[in-house]
Amino acid sequence: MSFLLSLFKSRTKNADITICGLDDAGKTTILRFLETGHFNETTPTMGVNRETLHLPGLQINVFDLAGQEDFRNMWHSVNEKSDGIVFVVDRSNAMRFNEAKYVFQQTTNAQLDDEVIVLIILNKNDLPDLIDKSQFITEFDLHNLPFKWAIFETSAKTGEGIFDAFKWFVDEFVG
Amino acid sequence: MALDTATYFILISSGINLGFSAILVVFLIFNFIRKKTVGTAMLLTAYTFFSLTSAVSIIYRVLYIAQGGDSVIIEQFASLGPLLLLPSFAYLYVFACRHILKDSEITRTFIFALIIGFYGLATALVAYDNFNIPMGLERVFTTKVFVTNSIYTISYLHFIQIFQIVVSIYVTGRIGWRALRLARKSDQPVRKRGLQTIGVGVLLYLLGGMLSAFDSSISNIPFLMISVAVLRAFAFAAAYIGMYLGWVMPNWYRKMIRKRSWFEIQYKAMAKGAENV
Repeated sequence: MSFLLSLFKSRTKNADITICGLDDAGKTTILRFLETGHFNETTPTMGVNRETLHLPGLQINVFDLAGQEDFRNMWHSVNEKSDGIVFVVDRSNAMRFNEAKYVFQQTTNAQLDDEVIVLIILNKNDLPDLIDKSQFITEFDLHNLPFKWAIFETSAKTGEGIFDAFKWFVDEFVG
Repeated sequence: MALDTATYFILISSGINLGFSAILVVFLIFNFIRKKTVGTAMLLTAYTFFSLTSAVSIIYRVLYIAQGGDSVIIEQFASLGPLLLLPSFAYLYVFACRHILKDSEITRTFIFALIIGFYGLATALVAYDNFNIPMGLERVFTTKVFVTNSIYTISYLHFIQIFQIVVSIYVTGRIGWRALRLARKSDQPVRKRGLQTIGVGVLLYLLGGMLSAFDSSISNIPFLMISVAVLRAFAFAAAYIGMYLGWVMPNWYRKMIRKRSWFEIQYKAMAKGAENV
């Protein structure tokens, strides 16, 4: 019976992931880079952008959420159903560091399932005056994060680190 | 004998047509069960009538072969073909209005009512005579009207055919024109290809229609008649498939259109490289 059922069962796993973070952190630019492999100018997202990645044995539905304050209250409805989240931080913008920390903690404390995989992206690596990665880990208290997580330094302008970051993410899903 | 061979060929080509349209009806039924939307119901209705038209065409030809030639009953039956196409186009038009045509509610209602009204009236006339003929009564509405004594005769069947041709050209022409225009403006690959598929489907339908018109003028050249009949059947079948794919956009078709993303290419190349090592 189980053999018969396995014939009709889809062999492709499905995973829903969300990309969140403050506005102007580079979420949509990262998504466009994943699609095209090069930098694309984007406009602020109003609502949600959706993209599907088809990989061997895995289909990933990516939901890129608008980062403006007005849209953040709708994140929870998407994040609650997510298998993983990507939190993008503009590491060149020290002025909004505390705001990013607050939003990150709000998201991880209240909106996520226990099994969720968290990918943190320190974006805009191509710009000067960057926040230090170790400082970021300490300030965001990542060592006490109750999820499986990883942090990557990227630039959606040059493509640096983008593949490695998402490869880690996909590998975690594929197991 | 030559005419019989042609009839068999036409019968087979009608079967091809019916096969394709019936398969699409089954797909649309599944689609409707899954989505339960008014739009899917309209498309399903349109395709059901397309299928019925093909089925009637086959029955008509089977009767022709069985009875060894033309008869009054066959003539009556022949009128059902163009008649059944009318609701197909009425529903296809209303369905297209929900997606790509921008007709007002009044225009939409008027055109739909005009087509369905004509369909109802013509069906009533055909049914009336169908009851009269077996009882030996004289045909009332099917009486041939002589326009000139020597050249032309016109029966109600011709009026149905003329109206059906006008309706089909109007509906398909408008859908095709609009779909191709929207496709040119669209920068989303999936939407663009979907609209182009509808446009090509409609053009193939018009080609099938033109071949039908050509078909009646070459009835004395069997080889040409057979070739045209087969071409026509494939044109109609391709048109039904094209319009179905364009409107419904099944997942496998979307996947085919969608370009593979940079990440997918990189990831698969890396996975392949790792396998080779």
